[in-house]
Amino acid sequence: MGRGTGKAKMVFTTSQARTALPGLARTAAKQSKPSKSLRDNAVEIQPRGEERSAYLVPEVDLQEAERRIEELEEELEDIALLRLIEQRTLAESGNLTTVDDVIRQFGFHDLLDAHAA
Amino acid sequence: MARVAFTDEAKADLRALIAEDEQAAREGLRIAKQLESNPYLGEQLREKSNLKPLAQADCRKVKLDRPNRRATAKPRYRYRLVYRIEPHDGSPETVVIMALGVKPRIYREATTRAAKRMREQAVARRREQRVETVRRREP
Repeated sequence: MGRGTGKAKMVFTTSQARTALPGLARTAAKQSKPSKSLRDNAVEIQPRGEERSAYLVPEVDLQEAERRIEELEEELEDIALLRLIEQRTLAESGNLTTVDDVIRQFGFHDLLDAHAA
Repeated sequence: MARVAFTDEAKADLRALIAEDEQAAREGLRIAKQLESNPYLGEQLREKSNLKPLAQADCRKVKLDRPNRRATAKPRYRYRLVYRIEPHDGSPETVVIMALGVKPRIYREATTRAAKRMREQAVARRREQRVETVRRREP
């Protein structure tokens, strides 16, 4: 799903939306494939006198948008983690402490016992 | 069995994590110990959109949290253990734990540096533009 721009294809006043709501909801619920943009299958409801409006979006599009956000967050995290590794590699002292020594140093001896058992 | 070792920075991360959430730190150490027998436990850092690894080195991450955290909690896993496998091709000999810490802290460190770099570049660009404007005005 890409970033939506512009207006929704259908724009309703609140009175029109009230009358058409059952049909609009049914049409939205019947969508089985996500559209390319959140706005493609959305219905814009414009209350009179308000600058901003409300959108009725099919569930399948909402789910796809959430999935995509999660995917992008994961990608951003990976990039940030890699930058961190690069920085740390450049500044590395070269000192390494084995995991067993770290476990002992920080007093988690039971982890070594559990692993040995 | 691979040798698993912590860098000094990762040890500092661990110290901070113990102060913040001891159970999560314990879980991090338990996972670090598991890496001895399973170095490929973590998921490779990559650009998901084209599935290319971000770097040649085999860098991986494991998501973790305290074991008794609610399964419905958001985010489910707040912490990351980040490591590098050496050598990155062939059979793994050493697993170097590079970071073990809170996710937002990791983001902050990286994004602060990126933001600083962008600010510096913007200042340099404005300076160049000013110089160029003055040069054009000169007869």
